[in-house]
Amino acid sequence: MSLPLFEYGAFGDAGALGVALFVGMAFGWTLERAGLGSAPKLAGQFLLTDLTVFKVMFTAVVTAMLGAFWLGRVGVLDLARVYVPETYLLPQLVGGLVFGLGFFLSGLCPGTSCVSAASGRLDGLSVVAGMFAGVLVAGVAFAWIRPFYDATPWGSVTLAGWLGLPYGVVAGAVVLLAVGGCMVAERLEACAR
Amino acid sequence: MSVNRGLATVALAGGLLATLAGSPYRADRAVLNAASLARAIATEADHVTAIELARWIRDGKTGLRVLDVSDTDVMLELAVPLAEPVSMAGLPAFAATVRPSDPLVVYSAGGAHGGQAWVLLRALGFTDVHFLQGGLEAWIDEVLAPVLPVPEAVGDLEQRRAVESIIELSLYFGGEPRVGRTAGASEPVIGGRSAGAQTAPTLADRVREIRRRGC
Repeated sequence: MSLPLFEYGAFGDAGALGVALFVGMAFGWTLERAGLGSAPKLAGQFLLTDLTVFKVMFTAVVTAMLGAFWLGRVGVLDLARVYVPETYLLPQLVGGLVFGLGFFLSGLCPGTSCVSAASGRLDGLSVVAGMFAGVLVAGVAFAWIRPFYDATPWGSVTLAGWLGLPYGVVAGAVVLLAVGGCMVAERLEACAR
Repeated sequence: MSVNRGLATVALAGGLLATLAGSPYRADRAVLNAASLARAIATEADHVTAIELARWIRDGKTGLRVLDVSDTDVMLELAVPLAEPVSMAGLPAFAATVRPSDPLVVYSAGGAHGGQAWVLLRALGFTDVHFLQGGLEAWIDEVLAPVLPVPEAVGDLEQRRAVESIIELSLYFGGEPRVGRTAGASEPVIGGRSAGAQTAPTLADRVREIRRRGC
């Protein structure tokens, strides 16, 4: 078996949409089970009293990264066929700031707001409504913001390529960072109790 | 040991081993299946003739992509229609943009690079890949300027139809079939150039140029 399945023709566009639907539902279910549909829980991230978001997300990053690395290494996954989104440094920095501010103010991010809304929380629903309004405004104003949107293109940059280090060395460093970060997070949570 | 500690240990082990494991990219360590390659060569499933390729292009073979790996611009004018120039060095990166099941035909001026590209693509997991037998020279000799007998002079009906089919194919691609002539005699000029132009290089000139460059 060769991965990605879609790239290797295991299923077509309709099949890909079905898989995307299943993966999206599994993602939402996992976020909900991890308690990430609750704004107060997410707000604890910024108050350093509950670092569940940090731990869940970093764990997901490490799991996906090691999975991709080892599946690629044993020849099951063709990593060259995994899409790496392009980096546009300045607009993404500004977008990240806006995202962080919205996250801090609402206590929810795009994914968790959907989870929150789906579990019947009005705060989640209002964040989803605001998010779609923002997308609509950005779409309408796109011609105007286009020069900024296209500014500082770096192409598809990976951490390993940017640092000039072997992929495996970067993977090992990220794992160390994640495990160390989670240990620090546990200490901070213990202090806050 | 708690579940968290156990998972952290597994992650640490995976991460530390990754530092020693080498590249996870397939293109950096393509795998050759010697038996499969040998079978393809023995059964002549590794290559396609210029006439076969011309028919595939004319008939719109589904998903067909033709790659010119010559690394030279000498054949721009005579290139196989629809051919995409891809450098040999850039072939692994290009391969990542193509589905492994897509039909590919690779060629170069003389054929050597085309054959090498075929091996490389097979090692990268492409299953429906062929090289153009004889390279661009064969395309010119067999499609653009084939030497053929006059159809009416061919006694066998089947052979006569084959000759007529090649003439039709050659004309379809803007070629100038040399019917009733011998190879090398009164070479036609390249399609699109005026026969009266004193400086227009003949087809033979361009072929000689390609042969000098090799590969």
